[in-house]
Amino acid sequence: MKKIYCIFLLALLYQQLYAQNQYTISGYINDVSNGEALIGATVSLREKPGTGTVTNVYGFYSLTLPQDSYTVNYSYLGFQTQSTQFTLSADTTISMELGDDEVELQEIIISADRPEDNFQDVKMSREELKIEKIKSLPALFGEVDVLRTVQLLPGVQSAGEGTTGLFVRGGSADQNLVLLDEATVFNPSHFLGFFSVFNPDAIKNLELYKGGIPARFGGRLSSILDIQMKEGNNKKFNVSGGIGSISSRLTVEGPIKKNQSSFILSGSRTYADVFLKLSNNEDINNNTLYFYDFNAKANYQFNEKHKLFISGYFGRDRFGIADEFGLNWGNATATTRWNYLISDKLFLNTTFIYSNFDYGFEIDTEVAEFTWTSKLREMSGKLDFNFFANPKNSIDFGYSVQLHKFAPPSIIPSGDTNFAPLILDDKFALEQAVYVSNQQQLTDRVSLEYGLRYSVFQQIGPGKVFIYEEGKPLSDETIVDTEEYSTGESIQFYHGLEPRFSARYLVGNRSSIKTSYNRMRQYLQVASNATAGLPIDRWIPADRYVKPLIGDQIAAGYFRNLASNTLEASVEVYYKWMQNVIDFKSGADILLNNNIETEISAGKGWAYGAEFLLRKNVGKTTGWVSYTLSRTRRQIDGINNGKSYNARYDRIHDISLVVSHQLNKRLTLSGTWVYSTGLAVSLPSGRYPLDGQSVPYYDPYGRNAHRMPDFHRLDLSAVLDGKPKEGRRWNSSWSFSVYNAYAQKNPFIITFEDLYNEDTGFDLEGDDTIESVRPAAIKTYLFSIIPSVTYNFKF
Amino acid sequence: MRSHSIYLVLILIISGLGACREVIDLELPVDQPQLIIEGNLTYWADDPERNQVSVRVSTSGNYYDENVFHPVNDAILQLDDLQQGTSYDLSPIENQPGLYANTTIPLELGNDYRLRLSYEGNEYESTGTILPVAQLDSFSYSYRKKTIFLDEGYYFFFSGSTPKERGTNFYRFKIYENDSLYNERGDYLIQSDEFLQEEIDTLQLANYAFEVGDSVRIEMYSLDKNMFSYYNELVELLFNDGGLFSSPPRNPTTNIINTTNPQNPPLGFFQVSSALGGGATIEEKE
Repeated sequence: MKKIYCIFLLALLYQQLYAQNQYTISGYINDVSNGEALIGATVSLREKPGTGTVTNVYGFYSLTLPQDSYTVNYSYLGFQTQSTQFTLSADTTISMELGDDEVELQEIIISADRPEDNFQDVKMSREELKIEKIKSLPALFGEVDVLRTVQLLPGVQSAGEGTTGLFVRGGSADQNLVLLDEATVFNPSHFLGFFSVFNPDAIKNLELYKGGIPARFGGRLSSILDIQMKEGNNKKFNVSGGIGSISSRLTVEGPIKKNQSSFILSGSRTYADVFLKLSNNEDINNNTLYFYDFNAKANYQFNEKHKLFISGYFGRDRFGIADEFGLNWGNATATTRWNYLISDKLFLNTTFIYSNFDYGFEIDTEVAEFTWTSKLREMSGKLDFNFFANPKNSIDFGYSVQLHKFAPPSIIPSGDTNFAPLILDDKFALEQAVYVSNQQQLTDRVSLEYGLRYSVFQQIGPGKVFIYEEGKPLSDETIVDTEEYSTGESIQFYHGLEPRFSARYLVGNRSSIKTSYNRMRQYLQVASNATAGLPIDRWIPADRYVKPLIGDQIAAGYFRNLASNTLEASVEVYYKWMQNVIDFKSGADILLNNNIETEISAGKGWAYGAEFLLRKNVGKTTGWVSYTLSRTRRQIDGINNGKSYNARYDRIHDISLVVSHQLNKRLTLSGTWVYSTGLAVSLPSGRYPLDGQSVPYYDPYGRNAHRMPDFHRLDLSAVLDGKPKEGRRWNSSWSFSVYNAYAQKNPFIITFEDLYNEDTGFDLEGDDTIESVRPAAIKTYLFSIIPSVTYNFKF
Repeated sequence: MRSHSIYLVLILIISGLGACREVIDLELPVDQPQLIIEGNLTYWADDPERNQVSVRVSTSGNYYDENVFHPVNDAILQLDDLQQGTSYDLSPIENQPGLYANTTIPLELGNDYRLRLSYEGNEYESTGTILPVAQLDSFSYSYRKKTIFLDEGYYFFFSGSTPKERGTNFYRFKIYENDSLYNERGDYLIQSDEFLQEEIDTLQLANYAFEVGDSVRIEMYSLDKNMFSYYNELVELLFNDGGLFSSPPRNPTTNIINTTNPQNPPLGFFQVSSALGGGATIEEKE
C-alpha cells in the first residue's frame, strides 16, 4: 500500500519537474447537432502518437503540454474527426463541436484516422453502447430495451428468456450497480422483469464495466452499468416520440439559453389496460395493468466555470384486479450535479443523489383485507475530482457518503380482526468511500491505470441485534439476548481496501495485451434463493451475521484491430473469486422474517471464462459476433451437501450475433441471433408416492447438475425512414420487429407434474373425467413468433 | 402469506401473457431406490377410539415409471413412549403392502414418542411430542356471493382460540367433501398462528365453495415446527418451477434420522399430532 503511494507520488513529481514552460489546452467536446456533451471523445496529438486524453462524463478535457506547435485531433466514434493546428504558448481553451459523418464542415481537416480505442486504451472488460445502435436492433413487442441489448454482450447472461436481469461474469443479478445519472436504480425492470425501465429517448450513453473497474466505482461485486441521460438539445426545440404496439413515448427538449443550457422531458406509458377497458367482460375491464417512465433533466451554465445539472427519473408499475387486489412498485431518483472548473487542469463535480424503491400490495376482499408496503432508500453525496496533471498522468480522486434505509415489509390488516399486524424492523446503514486513481502513460508502449478505494460500512441504529446461544445453530429457539441500539449508534462496522489495476502493452502498431485486477466489496445484497429478480425481493445490509461480499477478479486479454481499423477483435480471459456468498436453507422464510440470519448459509463462489469478440463499428454493415466460454460455481455449507455446484445461470457456451445493414438512405435491416447452453438445473432422478401426492425425488448431491435444452433464437428488424423533404421539420420512421423469427419454443421453465388425459391444460376443478394420468416433464415457453410495429416521429 | 403463494400468482400472470405449455421429452437421471417412511401418530382428544399409529414404508422408482410404489414388507418397526418407558411393536397389516400399524397403543397428550425402524442394516428414528390442538368453539358456515377471486357458495369458518402462550402454533387442516379428501397439491392447508390473534372469530378456513346438501368434514391436526416446514417444503416442491422464481428444487427436510449412516437420511416424515374433527351437512340459509 505504502509502496504504491510512493510510486504514484514519484511519478507525478518526476513529470512535474521534468516539464518546463508547460501550458494547458482545455475545453469541451459537443455534438454539433444538439450540443450534447460527447463522453469519452479522444483528444490526441499528431506529433506525439500515443499522447492524449479523453473527455469526462461532461465532455470536458484538459491536456498540459510543453510549448510547441501542435496538430490536435478530436475524434469520436461515428463522428468526423476534426483537427486544429496551432502554436501553444499560453493556456488555451478550445471547445469543439463534432458532426456525424454526413455533415460537411469547412475549414476542417478530415482525418482518415479511425478511433483506435480498442487496442490503444488501457481499459478492458468494458463495453460501450450507443443508444442509436440499441434503437436499430430488434425488440420484443417493439419496446427498445437497453438491458436486453446489454445481454447480447460477451460475458453477460440472463436468467431466462424475457427477463432483463444481468449476470455478469458469474455474478448474480444483485451484484450489478445500475446507475442512472449516478443514482442507483435498485430494480431496473418493469412487469416482473420483462422490460427495463430505461426510456431509450432519454438515454444518451451507457457503459458496462465487467472488470478492470476504476476506483471511482464501488459497492457491487460484478459490474457497473453506468447510464447517462441526455442533456437535451441546446440549439433548437425538438419534439419526438413513438407509437408502438404496447406503449407510446413522447420527448420534448430544447434550449434554456441557446448553446449553453437545455432541458429534456421524456415520458412513456404502456396501454395494455386501455384495451382491457374495451372488453365487455367485467372480470377483465375492471383490471389495471400498466407501467410508465418519466425522465426530466435540465442544465444551466452560470459561467465558464460553473454548470449545474438536475435530473430525475420516476417510474411505476401498477397491476390491479378490480378493487380487490392491487400491486404497484417503482423507482424514483433525483440527481443534482454541480460542475466546477477549479482550474483548467482541475475539474470538480459535486453530486447529491436521492434514490428510492418501494412496492405495495393492497388486498381488499371479504376473506382478507390488508396493505403491505416495503421501501428501500438511498441518499448520497459525492465529490469527484479529475486532475489532468499532464499528458502522461490523469488523476481522479474523491469521496462519497451514502445513507441507506431498508424498510422490509410491514403488513397492516384492516377489517378482519383475526390478524395481527406484522411490522419488521427497519435497518439503517452508512457507507463511505475515498478513492484515488491515476491513468498513466508509462512509456510509448505501456499505459497503466491504478487506484485504491477504501470503503467503510456501518450498520447504524435504531436497530436491534439478536444474540444466539454460542455453538448452537442460529434459530428462534436459540436467541438468548437482544441488544438495542439508538439512532445513529454503530451496530456493526466493516471496512477494507479495494485495489484496482489495469495495464496495457502495445504490440506492433495494431494490437495490444492488457491485464487487470480488481477487488470489490459489496455491503448490501438481495436475499433471494430464486434466480429471476422480483419487485418483492428484499435487500439486506451487511450486519452482525451477514458479512459483506468480497470479489477479486483477474483478467487478461489480447486486442487487435484488423482491416485498417474497421474491425476490432479481442480475446479476454478472466478468473473471479467471491467470498461470503449466501444462500438459503430449505424452506427458508426470507420475506417476512425479522432475523433472516437464521435462514442463511454462507460460502464461496468462483467463475472463469474466455470471451471472444469481433466487432465492426463503421461502414454500411455494422455489428458484432461474440462467443463466451464460461463456468460459474458455488460452494456453500449445507447446500448440495457442502459439495460445489453450478450456479443456475452457469452457461458453458454463449454466442451472440448482432448485424445491422444500411441498405440505402432510408432502410436499415438488423438481426440478432443468440445461442447458449441450457441453464443449469436440478432434474428429478426418481419419484415416490407420499400423502396422496406424486413427489419427484432430487439427488441431494445434484444441485444444478443437469441442463435445460439449449437455447437459440433469431430476431429481425427493419427501420424505414420517411422521405426527407426540403424545408420540412417533420421526420418520421417505421420500425418493424419480429421477435423469435423461426418460432423456437425455448423452454422458460420445466415443471414435473402429473399429466391428465395427455392434456397440459387439463383443469382438475373442471367437470371433465380423468381418463389417464402419467408423470411428465412439461415445458412452459413464453413467446412464439411476435411481430410488432412502431411509428417514430420527430419535429 | 408465505412467499410461494406469490410465486403462484406470478405463474398465473405469466400464463396470462399467453405462455404455452407442452410436454417435453426430457431424458432424466436415474438413481438408486430411496427409502420412504410415511409415519402418522394421531391422538384424538375427544375420540380415543380413533387413536392410531401407522407407518407406510416403501422405496422410490424412476420418475417416468407408471408405478413407483414399491412397498417394503421386511422392515422392523417399534414405537417408544419416552415418558412411560414402554415400547410397542408396529406390525405389518395384511393386504396393505408396506403398511405397519398399531391401534392399541395408549397415547397421552404431551408425551414424547420415538419411532424406530430397522431396514437393510440401517437404523432410523424420529421423535415427536403430542402437542395440543387449538381450542375449537365451532366450525360454522355461511353463504358468500361471487367475487373476483371466489365462487359463490357456502364457506367454512373457524372460531376458537389458539394457545399463543406456548409460542407459535402450527396446524394442518384436512377437508373432506362427501368423505372424499381434498388432496391435490393445491389443497394443503398448512397454517401458523404467527399472524393471528389469540382469540379467533369466524376465520375463513379455505377457499372451497360448498353447495346445499354437501356433507363436509373438517379435521385439524397440531404440527410441530419441523412438520410445518416439511409440508411447506413439500408444497413448494410440488409447485417448483426449477429455480427461476421459486427456490431450487430440494427434497423436503425429513424429521427422521438415519442413526447408522447420518449422511443418508430417508425420505418422508413421522408426524405426531393431536387432532379434532367437526363438520356439517350444508343446509340452505342466508
